[in-house]
Amino acid sequence: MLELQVPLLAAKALLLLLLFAFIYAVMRRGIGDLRKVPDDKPYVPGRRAGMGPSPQGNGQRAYAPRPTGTPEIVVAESDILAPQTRFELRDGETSVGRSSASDVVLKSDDFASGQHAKLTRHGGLLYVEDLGSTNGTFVNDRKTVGATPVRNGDSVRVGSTVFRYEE
Amino acid sequence: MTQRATTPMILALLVTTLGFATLIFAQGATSPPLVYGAYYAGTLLALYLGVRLILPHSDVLLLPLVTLLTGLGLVMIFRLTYNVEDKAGLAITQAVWILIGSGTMFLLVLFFRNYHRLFDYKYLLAAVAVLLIASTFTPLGYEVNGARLWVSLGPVGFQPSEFARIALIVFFAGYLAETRDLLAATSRSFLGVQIPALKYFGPVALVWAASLGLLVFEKDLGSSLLFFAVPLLMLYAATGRIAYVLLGAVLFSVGSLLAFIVFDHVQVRVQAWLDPWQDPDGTGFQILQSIFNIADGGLLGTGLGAGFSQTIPEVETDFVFSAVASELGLLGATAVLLAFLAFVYRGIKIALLAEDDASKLLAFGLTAMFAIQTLVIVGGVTKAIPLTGITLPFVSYGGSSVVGNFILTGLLLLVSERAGRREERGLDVGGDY
Repeated sequence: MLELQVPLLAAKALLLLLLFAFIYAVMRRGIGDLRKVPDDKPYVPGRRAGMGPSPQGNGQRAYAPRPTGTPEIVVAESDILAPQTRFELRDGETSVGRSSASDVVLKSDDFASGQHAKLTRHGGLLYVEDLGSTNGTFVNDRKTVGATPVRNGDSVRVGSTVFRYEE
Repeated sequence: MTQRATTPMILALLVTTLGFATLIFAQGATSPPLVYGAYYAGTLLALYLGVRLILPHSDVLLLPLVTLLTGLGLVMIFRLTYNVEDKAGLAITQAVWILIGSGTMFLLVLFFRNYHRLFDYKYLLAAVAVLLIASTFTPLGYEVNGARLWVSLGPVGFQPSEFARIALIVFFAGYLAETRDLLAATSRSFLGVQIPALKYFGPVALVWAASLGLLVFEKDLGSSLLFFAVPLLMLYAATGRIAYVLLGAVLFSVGSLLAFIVFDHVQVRVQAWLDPWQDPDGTGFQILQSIFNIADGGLLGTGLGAGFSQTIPEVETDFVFSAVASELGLLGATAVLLAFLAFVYRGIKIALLAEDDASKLLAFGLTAMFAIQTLVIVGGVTKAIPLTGITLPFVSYGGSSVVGNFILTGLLLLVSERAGRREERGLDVGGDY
């Protein structure tokens, strides 16, 4: 019986060894590959996104900021607000302006109007609309006309303040 | 630059060779004509080299994984059937199906490099898929083990739902890529859940309902589960709206409950899952034998040919995973699951790198189907979820399943070729075009 057991045992061990050698070879290749995937390229303004608005779907643009779950506008540069100040956007309308009744107050910004712009978040999409301000509202350095969609990573300029939209 | 993964390929073929050698020399199994083994190794090696040549930028690891899974499947099928009276030739039949699958995949890769044309025919493909499933109700269809899934075409029987699946995923990918923005930006809501416009959601719902309804009447529970879950996941991937998933969960609960009340065979399955000991010699027999065999395997397994997994009815198709766990042990079963995981990982990576929405959704849909199918059957045979008869991709015996999965792999390779070529040109991944 023993003669039969030994080769069987050896074959069994060898088979398992080969199986895991295969898995090791595959995983090594796979992980080497992962390093090559650029997942956090800096966003370059003015480029059109390849994908539609899809915050959680598999169609993330590779260079968009990593979605954090909560939609926010973040101060990128400003004369009056501290950089990296975050304003959470709830569903519905968010007003931006110099008036203290605004949701996002741009106090004593000489370039902003009292009621400057309106951000509307609806159905997962964000639109910005200028409310007849003197100096206009800009998305990615282009002046907006009517309601303009804002995508993850886009910049919105109101007065002297540039916000970045992150979702 | 052409990537190569020759080492995994050779290791996969070595596993198959060693498996057969163990069975033939250590267990004294009568050797099948060795020429079939040579054909098998030759075909897969040729397929691998051919794909590297035709699609040099395509994913390099999919074919070694397919080789390992089909090879291990062949070993297990041979082990489980070589000494069974009326099933002795099953391993050879499976080898022939693998040849046919490889051939089909090669033709697909050769002639459908511009796979985007498929999306132009998406409505036609959806109609074909529904007709394929419906074809089992024609006189050509016949029942096996209580489920009417088979259609006889001359000498061979085939399972149309295995092919209908892929056609449906192509349809959903093409359609959702076009309408995803419209489906995502919904205006109306009902009970806090946003409802998409019927105009855009209608076709999806119609195809979904038609295929699902037919399958339920065929009593094909496993496929019904796949046909339900995969479009739902694709919808979520396309729109990113959790509302669809919640809606799907509600529909699933209601549907399962209805199926449980209306259909006897569903009650039997659930009963056998909850308490197989109620009828250990009848409805619970299969699942009990499966668990006994998995337990018998222990950490290292009994060794090829030394287990008792032939006691499980249908072991070479649905229960092949139990046989692997029994004879190769926890370690062997883990290796197999890791191979499936690696396949799914490659599929998701292809989806992420693919150049346009339709390709992304196609790759994601195919991968999701592969993953869910594995989950459903491995969960079923280990008694984690109620058992539904479905094949373990590439490993189980079954012609339609093998050929269908080769087509699936071919489509993934085609998507990855485009992504790989774009990446090489130095364009942004998912960026400008």
